[in-house]
Amino acid sequence: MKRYLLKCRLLLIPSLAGLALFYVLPYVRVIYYSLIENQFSRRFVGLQNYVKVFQNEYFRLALKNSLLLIATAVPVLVVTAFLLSLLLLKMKGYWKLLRIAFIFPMLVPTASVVVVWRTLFDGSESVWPVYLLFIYKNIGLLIILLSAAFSTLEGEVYEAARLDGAYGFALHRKITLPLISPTLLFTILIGVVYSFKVFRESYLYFGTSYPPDHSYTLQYYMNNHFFKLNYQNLASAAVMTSLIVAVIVVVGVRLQKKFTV
Amino acid sequence: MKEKKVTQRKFAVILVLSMVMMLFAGCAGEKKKKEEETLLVPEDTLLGYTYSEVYTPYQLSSCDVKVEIVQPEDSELMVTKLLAGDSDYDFMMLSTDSALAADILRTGAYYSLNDVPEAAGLLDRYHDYIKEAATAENGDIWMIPCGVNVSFVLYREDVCEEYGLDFDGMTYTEFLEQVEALPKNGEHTFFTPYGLMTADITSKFEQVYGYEDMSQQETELLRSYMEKMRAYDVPFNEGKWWLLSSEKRPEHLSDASMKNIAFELERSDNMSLSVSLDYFRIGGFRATKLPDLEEGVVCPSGVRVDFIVINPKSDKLELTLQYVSQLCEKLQKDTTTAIRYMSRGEDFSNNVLREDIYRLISEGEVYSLYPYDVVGAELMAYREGKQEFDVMLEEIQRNIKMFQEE
Repeated sequence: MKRYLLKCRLLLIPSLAGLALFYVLPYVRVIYYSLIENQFSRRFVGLQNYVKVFQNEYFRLALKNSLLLIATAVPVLVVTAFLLSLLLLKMKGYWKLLRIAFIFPMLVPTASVVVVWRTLFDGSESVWPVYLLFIYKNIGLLIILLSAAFSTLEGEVYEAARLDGAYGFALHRKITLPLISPTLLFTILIGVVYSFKVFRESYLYFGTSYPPDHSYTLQYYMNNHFFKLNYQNLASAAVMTSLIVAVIVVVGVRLQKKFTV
Repeated sequence: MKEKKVTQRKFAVILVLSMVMMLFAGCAGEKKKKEEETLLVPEDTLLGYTYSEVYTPYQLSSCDVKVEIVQPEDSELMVTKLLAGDSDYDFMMLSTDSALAADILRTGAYYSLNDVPEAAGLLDRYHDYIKEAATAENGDIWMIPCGVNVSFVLYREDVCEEYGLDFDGMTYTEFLEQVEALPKNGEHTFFTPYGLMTADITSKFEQVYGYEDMSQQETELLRSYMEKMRAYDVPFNEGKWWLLSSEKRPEHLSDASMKNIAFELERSDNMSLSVSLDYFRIGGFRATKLPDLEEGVVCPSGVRVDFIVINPKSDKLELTLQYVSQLCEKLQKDTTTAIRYMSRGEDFSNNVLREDIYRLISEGEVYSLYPYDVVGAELMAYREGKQEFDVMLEEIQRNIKMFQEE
């Protein structure tokens, strides 16, 4: 057993080294950047950069818009993916191929989709085209995850439920939902994490680093500071964003564990 | 006996292999030494291709230190890396109107040249406003000016007298009125490239008024010019490129056809050593300040200075400083037009056109512009008819606020 464990640990070394090299060390570097005056003087300024960023009107606007995206687009994304997965589950024969269609948005370059989007929405300056684009681009992944979860559900459970008189919506509410809740929570987390990454879609749609106020998200804030070479603001905002995402993920994982038990 | 032969053969093989390896090691060492002795400077579209324009071979070869111009594959990444403290490049060349120049100054991403006496000596040679631009608020010499650009109206004095044209102290509105009134099929060609004028008007507007807090009068002024630009602008009005000439300007004008030019708006291309050189040679041409935007609001010529800034993280800082020191020394003694335009107390009385341009530069001012995303994109959207004037102005002001305060 000891030998086996040792082997396992040895095999883990390459991926752990990769993780440390490409994720942990850069993140530590980002934290370091957020605590110094600038990369040339390297004077330690404590949490001064964080305070400055948090007091900034546009950081707060970006944070508000990012949270609004989570509150509105993510539920729509998850519910739609859930319903479509259920629908696809019932598809027979060639109709099953329909699920492939939902994977296409993931394969098509965002730039091409944006061209269609701009035509479709006539270059509308409202926030909805971007929200819909976010849903359109990510729904395929969620459908795959949920379909995989549905396929693991055993027919006997449903038969037993039907014998007990559960049909239609009640069947899904009482049986399907509790059984796939871990996957569902996972998809919600994926949706939340992806919503923080919305930038390319919006940037291409509006074609500027200064979009309408309602679409100015945290990624814009960070991107603009990146191009202004203000690494201290960028690093502080990045650390704060990652902390927010981490809190959401921890809460999600706790809930997931609770539902699984 | 046989064993001895085998041993000798082995020895010979080992000897040959060792020699080959030594040769390779020698070559590699030589290459490394060469790399260590060569300074790297990036050049690409983002930086404006200025280095090789300004640094004519005589300047490169005049210093002991070798400089290699490198064209990076990813220019944005290069700039980002450089300003994040990367040591890939030893110095770079930029223009004062670029957003990057302002970022370098703000972030302190430069090596202070205060301890290079030749740098201070060179700055003393320059006009005060250029010296001022090269000095940071804390007194650091943060750049070495190496070239200068300015826009002006180039005109033939005799022809303009004949047509009663006088550009001194006129506004763009008066300038356009005069141009419109000129005979359409006369003997002389009147080059008025609106493309140049458009860029100059918007730059001048930014230089004089800015877009941040515009009074009603300034708004109306901008509106009137934007409407004119929309009506005449080159990309959208192909036929009006040369207002009074139906023919497109040939790439290389013959001396004879150049003598027929009455006037044109001209932008000197790094010290007027390219296009304008012909005008100097042919003679009879004069230069005057670009028209003002508004009567009574006199605006000095906007001067764009090309400069060198040292990467504070350069691996070869000592060598770079040696190069800068030699370069400054060389530039201090430079008697070519390039540096003389930027220098105080120069005498150009032997060439009246050069004298005019020198006066414009002497009385000019260094200006900086907002990045294209902030102002230019909105102006363009209006010119293309995609946006109304009021919306454009509102967007520009919103972008500026966001750019400044975010």
